[in-house]
This record gives sequence, structure tokens and C-alpha cells, in this order.
Amino acid sequence: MAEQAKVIRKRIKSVSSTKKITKTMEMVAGAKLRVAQQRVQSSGPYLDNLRGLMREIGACGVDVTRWPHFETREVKRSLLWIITANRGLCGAFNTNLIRLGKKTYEQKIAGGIEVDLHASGRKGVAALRYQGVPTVATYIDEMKDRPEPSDADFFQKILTEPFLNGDVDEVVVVYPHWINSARQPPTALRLLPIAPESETGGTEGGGKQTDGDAPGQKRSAHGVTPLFEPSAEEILDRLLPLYLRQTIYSILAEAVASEQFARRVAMKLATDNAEEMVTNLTRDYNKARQAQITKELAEIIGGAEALK
Amino acid sequence: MLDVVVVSPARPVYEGRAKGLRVPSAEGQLGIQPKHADLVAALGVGELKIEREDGKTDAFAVWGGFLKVGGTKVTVLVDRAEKAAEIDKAAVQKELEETKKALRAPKSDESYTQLMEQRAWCQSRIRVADSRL
Repeated sequence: MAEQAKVIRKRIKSVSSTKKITKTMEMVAGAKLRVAQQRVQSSGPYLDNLRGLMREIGACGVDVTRWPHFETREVKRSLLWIITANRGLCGAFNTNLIRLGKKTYEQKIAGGIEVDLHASGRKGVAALRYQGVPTVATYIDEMKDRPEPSDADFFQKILTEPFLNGDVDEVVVVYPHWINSARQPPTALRLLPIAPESETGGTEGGGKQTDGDAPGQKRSAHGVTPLFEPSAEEILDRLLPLYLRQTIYSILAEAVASEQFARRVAMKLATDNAEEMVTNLTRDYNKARQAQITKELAEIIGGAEALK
Repeated sequence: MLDVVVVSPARPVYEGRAKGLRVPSAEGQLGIQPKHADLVAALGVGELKIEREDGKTDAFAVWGGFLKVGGTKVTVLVDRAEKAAEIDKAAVQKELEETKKALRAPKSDESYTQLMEQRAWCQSRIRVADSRL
């Protein structure tokens, strides 16, 4: 009995120290989440405004299909970019992304499309390698914990050049789309060709932001087009790369925020779980201790009785 | 009065009412006053000056982006923006010297254009930093 109490005490100690670690990780993730969330929110207005500008240019009768970015070709080869985290301990976050990524990949292969698979994040790279899914490129150090707009330049080059050269016919990104602090579902987003309807919101969740641009649209509808300087075409020339870069930046920012959110939730669950375990173990320990005392008492009394 | 919003890729930079503003467009300085015709313009490198309602002026060094005027609403999308307090003048001065040195022997036409923009970016940051005084 004395043995059992000792074993339980040891376990309590180990569970409490695990709890301390998960609690700390929860708080760290919470702090990082706040910063990451801020980043997601403040990258939004720029993207929405770029989208609004694009819409305005489109509404002014500029034939956007002249730009290769909008060109819809029959898809023979597809570039798929799967984003995961570099670190684990964040619940099903990475698993869900990999599952969606693999599903997308298999669907394309089944449809007779060749896929160039790019994987970001240590966890995704490892999982895909383990499952025997071939990747053409992997990025680990390029995935920053605190992405800056300039970090998106690298990915913009890698993702858009094959499309513009005609090597691939579409670019699809699988990433955790930050809708709000309660929902970040893994999402497959078609980055290129830019769909003309995606400019009006829809998949990107820019719908709520269109209010501010509504007057501009109305005026265009009335036939009063704004002046363009130097020209609508030249502005679109400059705008498209910026639009793609900002889209990629917001994807990176959303991925980081979602990861921190998933980690905080996972660590909160772990902490609560540890708490419960400690409560149960303490109860068991007290029981064992009590049993031992009772046993010792019984022995003493038994001994005393025997002496009579 | 104009409602002015300035945003950069990383964050909103400025939001408020203004009497007018001056922006460096790709083809030269542009002044925007109330009742300006609707306009969309590409921006170059230079200083963005916003004359606030209270008569004070806010200055930013900006590089690239777009200007959109629609009625009384003015939206400035800038690729980079720095205000006086954020500029480390000594560091910029050093950067400017290096750019000037590189400009004496540019490798290609492309890098020449880049360096020229870099130089203008340094110079406008220095001017903005000085304008605080």
C-alpha cells in the first residue's frame, strides 16, 4: 500500500509539471495570437482597396482578359501549394491541412492533371514525404513566424512565374483561411488565373468590405468614369503584381494566426485535461493513504489485542 | 473637406478629414482639393502631405502604390510609408551614400532605374525627417 501511494504521488508530480508547460504554451500562443490577429486585420484594408480598384478598372470597359493573369486555359498542369506549420502541438491543425491538400492533389491526379506540389511548413513536408506524395519544392525557413509584406515577394515569384510562362495552367493554395477568431477552415483557393468574379468578394470573404466602394461603382454605372493617370492599362499593369503579393501576404498572415489559435486551443485542452487528472489522482492518492493508515491501525490494534 | 485614408500593405497609416493633400504621382506632383474630379493615379516616390482640418500638415515619405479619388473620399494605397518619427536619419543618410556610390557604376539599365528610385526614396525620407523641425 505504501508503494501505491508513492507511485501515485510521483504521477501527480509529473502531471502537474506537464500542466505547467502546457499552461505556459497556452499563454505564449495567446500572446502571439494577438499580434498575428492584428496583422491579419491590418492587411485587409489594403487588399480590399486593391480589389476595389481592380473592379473599378474592369467596370470602365478595360478588357482585363488581355492580361495573362486572367487567362483561363484548359488545366493540364496545376501548381498546388500546401501550407502547414513548422511546429506541432496545435491539435488537428496540420492534419486537417494535409488532408485537404492531399484530397485536392488526388482529385487533380484522378482528373488527369499533372500536379507540381509545393509544400510549406516542416510538418506538412514530413507528412507528405511519409505518405509518399512527391513534392517539387519545400519551404521551411521561408515560413516566418512574423511575416512581413516583403516575405511574400519570394512566394509571389515562385507561384506566378510558372503560370505566366505557361508551365502551369492554374495555381491553387491550400491554407487555413482566417474567417474570424472562431473559424479558420482549411481552404483551397485558386490564386491564378484571377477569376473576374472573385474581385467582387465571394470566396475571399471581401464581401463585407464592398460597402465603402459602392459609391464608386454606382458612378461607373451612371457612365461617369474616373480619370486614369497614366492610363487604366498602366495602372492595372502595376496593380496586378501588388494584388498577388498582398493576397499571398494575407495568406501567410492568416496561416500564422490560425496556427497560434489552434495551438492555444490545443494547449488549453491539455491544461484542462491535466487539471482533471491531478484532481482524480489526488483523490486516488488520498484513498491509498487512508487505506494505508487504516491498515496500520488495524495492525496495531490487532497486535495489542493479541498481547492481552 | 476630404475623407482621407492611407493604407500600406502591413497596416492602415492614416485616417481622417483633410483640407487637401499633395501626392507624388508617377508623373509628377498632384494636388487634391475638395471637388476634385474622380481620379485613379499610380504613385511614384516622394512625399505625401496631408493638410489636416486643424491646419497642421502630416508628412509621409511614400513609395509606389495608387491614389483613388471618388467624390470626397480619397484613398491612398502606398507600398511603403514612413512618417518623420519612424525615420532613422543617420541610417538613411548612409543608405543614400551607398546608393549614390552604386549609381556611378550601374550594372544594367534596370538596376539604374532601381537605384534612381532608391535614391529618391532616401532623399524624400530625409526631407520628411527634416520637416518635423
